[in-house]
Amino acid sequence: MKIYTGGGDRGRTSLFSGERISKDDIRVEAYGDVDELNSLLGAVIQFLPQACGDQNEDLRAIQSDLFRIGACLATSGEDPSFEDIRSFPEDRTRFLEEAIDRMDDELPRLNQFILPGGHPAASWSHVARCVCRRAERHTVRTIRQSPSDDDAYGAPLAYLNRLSDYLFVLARFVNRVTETPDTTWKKA
Amino acid sequence: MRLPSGDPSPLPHTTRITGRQWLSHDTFTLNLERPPGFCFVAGQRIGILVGPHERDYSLIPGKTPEGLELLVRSVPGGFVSSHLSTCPLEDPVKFTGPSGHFIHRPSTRAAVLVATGTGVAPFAAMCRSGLRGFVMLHGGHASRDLHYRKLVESAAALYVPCLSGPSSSSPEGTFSGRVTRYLQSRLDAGEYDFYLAGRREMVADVVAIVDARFPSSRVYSEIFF
Repeated sequence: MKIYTGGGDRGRTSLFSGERISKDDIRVEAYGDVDELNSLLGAVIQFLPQACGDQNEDLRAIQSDLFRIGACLATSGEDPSFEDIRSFPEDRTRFLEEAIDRMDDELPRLNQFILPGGHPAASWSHVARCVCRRAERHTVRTIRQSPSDDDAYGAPLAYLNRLSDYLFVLARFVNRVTETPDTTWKKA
Repeated sequence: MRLPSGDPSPLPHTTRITGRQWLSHDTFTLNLERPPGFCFVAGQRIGILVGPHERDYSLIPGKTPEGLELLVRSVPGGFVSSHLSTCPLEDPVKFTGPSGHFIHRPSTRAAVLVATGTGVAPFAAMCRSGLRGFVMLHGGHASRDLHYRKLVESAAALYVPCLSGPSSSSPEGTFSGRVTRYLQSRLDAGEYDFYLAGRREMVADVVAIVDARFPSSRVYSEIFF
């Protein structure tokens, strides 16, 4: 099966909702970030230590969620007939919160800034966290550009916000279970 | 609107083949029994499973509510299409789905449906489900390639058979040339909802024309092989 259509060779692309837009549109930036984030989670999964079986399952589920969020962002809000693509369940954010709480219960209280790094899975998790923050910022700009997306993008936005927290805690959790010391920030 | 599907690990449906009609030397319709409770939206597809192989086909409602149809091109070396072209009637068939979002979305813009080859299948499904009043550009090398012509022609407000073979073989009332040529030279400027189904080269060429001639239009596409 060939995956290319050639329809985007001239710098434009089609949204799920049919509009042809420029590839430098902020909406394309937003779902491109989500795609990049999803790919990074694939790298995190590959580096996860065996002791992180629950987190492996969490991340697989998160990858599926991000796929839906990408489709949601690639669908504009002017046509109600696209509700099937644009709807993202609000309870998925609760799923992240519960996963964060489970890891947090096993971590020491954080009373200093830590520098991104440590175990490879933790390091990639920090990289993914930064991309997640960028996806969130670009989603906010997408909403500002098309206010009709405000309602539909509320749940994905909350999810992305919580996901960056999840990835921060995941990095600490991985370092903890692999006995990799966190590096704390020291003022130069 | 919520479409059927969305289950990330659906169990396959099982049905049986009830008929096969050859439309040309390499293309045929396959009739299937509709499994109890199975529903889909016209334009969606299913994945036919043959051993470890899976191949997507647009699903067409049958002429009766109990039936389903597929439009199949027998591809040389194609495992699934070869099997479907020769397997005995009454054989069981497993399939996944329905899936996909290539459905008609009502809007204030005129719908222009563009199909070549077996790409007409989702449009046949839409017509059989009640879609009316659209513009249909139906491309093929010769008249015999315009499968489901009667069905889509009777539902269209404007039906344009575009034949790319020698003009001497184009009957009266047909446009001599590819669908892309018609779009470049005949379709009035304006905003449309374009639905494209066919080979990727056609889709890419039409998208380029839409960007140039109909820049505020919408484009939905499905690639057929």
